[in-house]
Amino acid sequence: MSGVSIVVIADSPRPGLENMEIDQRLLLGANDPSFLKGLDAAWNQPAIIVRLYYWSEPTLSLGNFQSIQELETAQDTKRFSGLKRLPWVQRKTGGGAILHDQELTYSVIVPSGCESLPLGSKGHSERLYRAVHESVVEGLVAFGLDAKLSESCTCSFGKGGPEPFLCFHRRTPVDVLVGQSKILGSAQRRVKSGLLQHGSFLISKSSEYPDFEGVGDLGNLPARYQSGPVEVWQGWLEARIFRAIQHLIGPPERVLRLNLPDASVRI
Amino acid sequence: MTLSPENLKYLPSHEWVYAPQDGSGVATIGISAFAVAELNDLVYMALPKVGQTLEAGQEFGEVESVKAVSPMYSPISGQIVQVHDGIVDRLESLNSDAYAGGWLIKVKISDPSQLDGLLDYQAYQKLLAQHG
Repeated sequence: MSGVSIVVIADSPRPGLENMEIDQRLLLGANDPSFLKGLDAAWNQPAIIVRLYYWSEPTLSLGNFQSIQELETAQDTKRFSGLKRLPWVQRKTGGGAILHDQELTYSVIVPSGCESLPLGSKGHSERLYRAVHESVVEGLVAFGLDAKLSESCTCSFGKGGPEPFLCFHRRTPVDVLVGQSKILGSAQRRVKSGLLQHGSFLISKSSEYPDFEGVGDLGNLPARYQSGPVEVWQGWLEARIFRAIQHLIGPPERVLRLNLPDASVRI
Repeated sequence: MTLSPENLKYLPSHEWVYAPQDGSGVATIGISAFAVAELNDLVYMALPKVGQTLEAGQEFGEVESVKAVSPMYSPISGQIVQVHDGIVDRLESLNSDAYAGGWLIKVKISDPSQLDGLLDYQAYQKLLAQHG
């Protein structure tokens, strides 16, 4: 691929299964320009796709290798039995379960032919994890928050016991913390056509699991972020991710931005 | 011919296959030491069931490391006759032996000519050198 283009989709809230199916379709079509023609008839090249979305109702998404039965025995969810009545969906990416409530989800899809961001064929892309997370840290620090990368790991699997069920109880070195609270974690999936990176950004506490604080609970933010609608954070996170990708690939050849305020629009 | 890295054929996606000339027609498949090192800290692996039929290039399993899920591809077509189920509970052993002790599945080969299209050890080493 010569010159890299970026498609940004600011999506409307959708049910969990639909959200996951859209990301899977975007991933499997990552190298197929004709797929993007559905979004823009003039489009004729693969692109890095950034999608920002949230969920039409509180929903659990489970990591690729997790089962819903683990929720019955997990220690970290014992005090909040209400989680068991929530709808749930399986992610294709790794890591632990996410409670999608008072949070924003993003996906970044990188086609396998992207020369500016070579992926190899196995394992994670540390560059993509770091670029997105460092950009978010930079933006939060500009708000005056004590934001940083975790630089620690709870990767205890196989070394003394299972990891917590919920992703936000876990730590990997690139997770984003404000103080000691994790507010952003990401995970990835590889296929022949490319790489999908999912991430979850906590905006504020969820009544379903109030142990996790969101960025709005952790400092004095500008008024529009403190009390504004989720779309304010959607725009902010979109800008941080866009900046991260530009940092990786340089100026994009072309940018297409789609704002989908209506979930009846199919992707 | 023994199951050692020099005697294997490879896919560019780092799966290996060992096809002994013993008349059995059964090949052994795994992922290379380079792949294990690249994956870094394997936490989960899913393997297929005995009896499943695979096409060359088809996914036969998945592995998770550093919150990234990666597929594993079959270098050849055939039917799975044995699965190394025990390996999923001791993935750390792949760090020290990704070959003889780290095999993942055994497949009854349906088209031996596919082996000719795979990378030999020298070609695979050249590919790894290009990766830097």
